[in-house]
Amino acid sequence: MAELSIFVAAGLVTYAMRASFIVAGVRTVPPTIERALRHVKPAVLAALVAGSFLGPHGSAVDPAHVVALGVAVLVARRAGTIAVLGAGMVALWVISAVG
Amino acid sequence: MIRLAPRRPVRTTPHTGTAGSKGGIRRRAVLDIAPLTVGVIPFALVIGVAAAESSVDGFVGWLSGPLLAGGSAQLAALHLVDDGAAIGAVLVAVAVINARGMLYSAALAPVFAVQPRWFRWLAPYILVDQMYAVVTSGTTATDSPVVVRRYYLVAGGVLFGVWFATLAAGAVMGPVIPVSWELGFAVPLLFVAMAVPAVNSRPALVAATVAGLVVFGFAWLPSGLGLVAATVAGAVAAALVDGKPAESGWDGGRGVEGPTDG
Repeated sequence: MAELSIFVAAGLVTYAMRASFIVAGVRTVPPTIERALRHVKPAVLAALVAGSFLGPHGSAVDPAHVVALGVAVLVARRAGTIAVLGAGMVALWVISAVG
Repeated sequence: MIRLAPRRPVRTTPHTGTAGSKGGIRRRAVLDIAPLTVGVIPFALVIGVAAAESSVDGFVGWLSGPLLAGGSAQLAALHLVDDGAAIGAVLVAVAVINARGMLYSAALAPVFAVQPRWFRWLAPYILVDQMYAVVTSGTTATDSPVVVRRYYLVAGGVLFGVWFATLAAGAVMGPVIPVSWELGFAVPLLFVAMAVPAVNSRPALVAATVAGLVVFGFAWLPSGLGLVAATVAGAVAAALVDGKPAESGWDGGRGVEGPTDG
């Protein structure tokens, strides 16, 4: 059961980070910090997308992925999540089959 | 002037400030979380398969899902434990990958400050990317605390109910799923689907651009740290160009971010 205890510990670490400020009940935040927190959303999502272009440890990723993600960005400007998922996966499969 | 977010109809589920029947909130939450839930299904299948194929005992492998409540961290933890890594290495890896959870905590703390204590202890457990995205676009500063927490819990229940079930399904289905399908690619696609509507103002564009550049510039960092650095840099840069008065938590108080899905 050593493995289980590792997962439990990892879960607690994760929870602690997510709970930190919320459980502390931080109510108001200095205006400058608040202004930054307001923009966490576009920043983190863009960072997640950018990270998808990188392989592990910063190596460049499969060009098929890059093109398929580009297709996804274009579709996302016009349509919703399901369309983006469908278009992106189809693009990936087509490019991988052809390339 | 570049058009940032596309001109799309406002959210499809009607949004009534502090009013709103219990059923109405529930329906709105389900509709809003549904496309994101669909998006995580392929990833959950992939992780379920990985858990089954690792040396970790079946039930414990699945249990790592509910324990970690996060896909990338679970995958990393499974790999490391499978390789016999020391607990310290696993904890560091998980902490790094899930570090953005602390940013979500800081961003949502003012929003959740009015919530009862039990909710403030429960909500962070499921505070993942999709939950942060959906609660910031699906609720607004005019919503009563009851509405916000009901919305959050219903969305979370759907997302994680499906997530945990699919983890199990992946473990059972196992290597039936061809690797060539690259189901894991659904995750970055989901990020794109969430990111594009979020870039709906000049400060947001600044945030996204700076964050993206920092990710590439700091690609040598472990991905979780690079992500945090990029997010902080992007948010700070956006704060510098944002002229609007401070309004806690939600997207500058606007709340509405485009359709819940199509």
